Amino acid sequence: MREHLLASSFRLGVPGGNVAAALVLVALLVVVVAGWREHQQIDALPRRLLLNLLRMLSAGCAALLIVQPQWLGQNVEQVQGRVALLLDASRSMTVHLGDSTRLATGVGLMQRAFDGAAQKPLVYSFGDEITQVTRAALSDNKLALSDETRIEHALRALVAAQGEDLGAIVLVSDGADRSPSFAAPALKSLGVRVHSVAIGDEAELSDVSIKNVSADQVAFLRQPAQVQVTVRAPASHAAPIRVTLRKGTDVLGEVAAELGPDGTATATLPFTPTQLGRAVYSVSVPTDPDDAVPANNERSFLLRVTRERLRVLLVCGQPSWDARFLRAFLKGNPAIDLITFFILRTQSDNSMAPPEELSLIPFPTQELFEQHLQSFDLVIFQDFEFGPYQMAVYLPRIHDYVVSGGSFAMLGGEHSFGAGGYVGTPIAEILPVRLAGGGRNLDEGEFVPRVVDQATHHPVIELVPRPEDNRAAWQSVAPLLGTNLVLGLQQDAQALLVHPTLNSDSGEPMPVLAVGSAGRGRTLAFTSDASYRFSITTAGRLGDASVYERFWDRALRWLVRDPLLDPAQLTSDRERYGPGAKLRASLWLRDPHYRPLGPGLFRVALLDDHGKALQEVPVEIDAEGRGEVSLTVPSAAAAYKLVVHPEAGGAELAQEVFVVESGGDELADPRARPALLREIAEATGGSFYASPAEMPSLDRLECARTRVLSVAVHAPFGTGWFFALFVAVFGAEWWMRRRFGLR
Amino acid sequence: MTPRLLAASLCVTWLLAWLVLGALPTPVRAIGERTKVNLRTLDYAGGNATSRPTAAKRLAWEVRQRTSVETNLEPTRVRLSDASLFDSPFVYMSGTEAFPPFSEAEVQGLKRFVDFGGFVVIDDAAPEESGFDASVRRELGRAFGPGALKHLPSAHVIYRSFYLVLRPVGRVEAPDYLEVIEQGGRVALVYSRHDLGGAFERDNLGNYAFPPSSGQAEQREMAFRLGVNLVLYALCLDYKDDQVHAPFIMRRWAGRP
Repeated sequence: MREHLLASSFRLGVPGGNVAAALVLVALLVVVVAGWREHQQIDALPRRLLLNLLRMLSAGCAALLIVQPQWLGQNVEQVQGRVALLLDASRSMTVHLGDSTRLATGVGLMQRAFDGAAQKPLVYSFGDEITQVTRAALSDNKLALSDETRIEHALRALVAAQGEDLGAIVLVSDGADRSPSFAAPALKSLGVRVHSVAIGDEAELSDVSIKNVSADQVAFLRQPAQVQVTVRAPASHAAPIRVTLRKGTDVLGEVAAELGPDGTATATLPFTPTQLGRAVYSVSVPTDPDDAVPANNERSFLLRVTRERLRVLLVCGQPSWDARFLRAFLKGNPAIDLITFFILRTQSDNSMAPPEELSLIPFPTQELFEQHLQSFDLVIFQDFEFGPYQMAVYLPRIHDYVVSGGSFAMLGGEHSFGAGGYVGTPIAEILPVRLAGGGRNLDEGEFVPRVVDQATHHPVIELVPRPEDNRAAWQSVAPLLGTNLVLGLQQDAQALLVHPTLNSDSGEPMPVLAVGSAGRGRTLAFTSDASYRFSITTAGRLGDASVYERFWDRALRWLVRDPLLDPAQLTSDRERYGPGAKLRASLWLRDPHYRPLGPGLFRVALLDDHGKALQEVPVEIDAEGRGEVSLTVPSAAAAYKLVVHPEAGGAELAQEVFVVESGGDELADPRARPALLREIAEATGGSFYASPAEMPSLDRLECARTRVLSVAVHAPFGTGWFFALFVAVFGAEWWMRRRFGLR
Repeated sequence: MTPRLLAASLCVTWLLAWLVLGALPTPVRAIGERTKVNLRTLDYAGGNATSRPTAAKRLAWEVRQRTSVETNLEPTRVRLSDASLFDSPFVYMSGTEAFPPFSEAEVQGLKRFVDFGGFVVIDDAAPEESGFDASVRRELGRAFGPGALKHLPSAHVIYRSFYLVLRPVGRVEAPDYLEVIEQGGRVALVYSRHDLGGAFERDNLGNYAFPPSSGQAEQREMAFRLGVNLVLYALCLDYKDDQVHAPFIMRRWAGRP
């Protein structure tokens, strides 16, 4: 059935709207008053009145010309469309309502409405997305439950799916949508009436719940951390609520939360992590026998425990500008705990003073390399020769430290690489470059290092994102002064910067900056002793010393495996899910040299906390190495892990950890919100029904939607005739003024 | 062997030796001479900037003899307006007289040099007079603002960056403090009114050019120690403030008079 209507409205055509129009009117009023005062000079009253009249007329015409009032006529039609039933199938609908559940009540209503309608409606369920369901599937035990309630998203998705055929939506829900950005008035733009039926009322549930858990994602080992827990209870609950923090079965803390007048309380539980790595913590409140939703009495969160600061050992063979700038950079970084050793005096130096007049201390090799080596995240040898300090015995330890996960960097100089006697030592095995033994292995020539084409996206040298800009940035740095010569790269190592003219014995450009791995550790070789020229010298030329800091910051983060610089990344959309929730994860897969691993097929597996695979899904990765995967998380509350492997098998590329909670965000505050449903109905021109019993037959519901057929704009003061009238009135006033002796 | 055969044999032997020895590695002490620590002297208009012409060279020699630092034994000279100012982070400036104001380019050069990590030692070679001192304070005020110069506390790490130095001395003993400008938590400029260069300076015959004010050779040695400490501080910064050094240094301080 179609019905044509004519709707009209008024508007001002002047840019700036009402404010501009008001300013114009004020200005013209001033003109009229000024004219009236001027006309007082004329003695004859009729002449005065005539001029005043003409001034008012011309000002009025000017006002209408400028403000441009317009009338809009809309030719619209009312179209009868189909009705869509939209049932909330989120987990908050599982809350008990009398002898039944909210969901069963809603399903019953939907079945009755469907069966009783002459024209059969469309049927959908929703949570975070909409799903079309058949009459046969309309059963509370056949609907897939969702972990979120997103009413606005569902309504817009339904309108988009059904287009102009849709006449009205009947929303059946408890209204428990806690989306922070959701505002019912915004639904006015839907263009479709939404009739809402409330399942559940505002009467307090007998439910004590953990409404929110707030903890940092990262905490530091043996440093105090805390978690804030907001609990909620009905007004009848007078006693304080005991909140308990656990890791596994160990109780870490307990506190009594005093409820405020709004029935909520926030408790802070301090604790001190004692183990590195990721772990699941949980908070819980006691469950009373009559608690309506026991599942929301416990919540979990993941915590990544790291060292508070990176521990770096910098050993310098002699004081030099290169050592000074690197030390200043490391020392200036508050996230680094730096231990430095400079060799200030050698056997051949004569300091001309007895030991007590010197501030020199012995180089504590045994203490550093035997007792404390494992406590460092990174060891840097800068122009350091191990021979004179009886260090040969400690080199195997450094090798093992790197293989077991430590990081090592060797920087150039006359005491480094082959010139430092490292050929054939355990250090040579872990370095990313092959060392030149004997012979001349230093070159004193000045050069600007060149970025290796295949390495331009490697995070260590990626000063700016675009490859061409990155190459230009590296070309603009001050030249380095000489380099250690090496034979080439170790197997699987990667050159990032190379010498522009020198070649290694394999014919490849001589590596200047190379990275690699040894066992579980990472290593870096920089064959120059003049990286300080990226700072002061480059700054003298370009006015910017940041290349040095950006380079070393990224090098350091890559060496200590900053997760943000991992070549392969698997990221889930949330950290905590409810049972059976939908998980979406994004993948960015690159090989250890940061080259995309796509296009290709990979496999994402969901593992339980014992490492048993519960699900496996294939995922298509594009040429940039990017892809997305979606799966349903298990129902059992626990910690789980996602891992990604090549389809053909092979080592794990990346992993992500998440938690499934029995309650989760969806049940954190499961109270019904009929007021929200009423607002939705009012905003869209629909009707609100406070209970299923109030809802009439679908055939009696208003299901016409308004469609605009055409719009006519009527602007009578925008015509040439009206402008001519203005000119005539204005001209008449001017002519009269001259005639009556005014200028 | 005939003389001609002998001569031919000698020539061949010499040629072979030249070829063989020429192919052997030449001992190299650094990747490049230019990465060695260059204690450059500042050139500027007026002020008698060359009054201590060999001071930097003498200090470079002493630093190399006493420490592991590889210094350039022929320090170069540089102006604050030179582009090469930023090639190396150390500048030594001395003078005996008042000097005209720096050009704007020189003031900006000094400020940028310090901002970007450079280290400046200014040495008043005529502390008995006020001309050089007044000019220095005027120029530092232009570059860093009034009041930037501060007295260096006697416990500062500069006094123990290599030697344990009790108080600053040069050719003259007074005053008992150094003045410094700090930048980003480090001392970036040191101003001494002790004529350090005067204590280091030797004449063409190798004799010290100026007697120390006390007449004691120990005063000259203390001046060298301060000079060495300044260079070591420029290179190591507050390394001696690291926690690991504290017990050793405290024990030695405690054992001193």
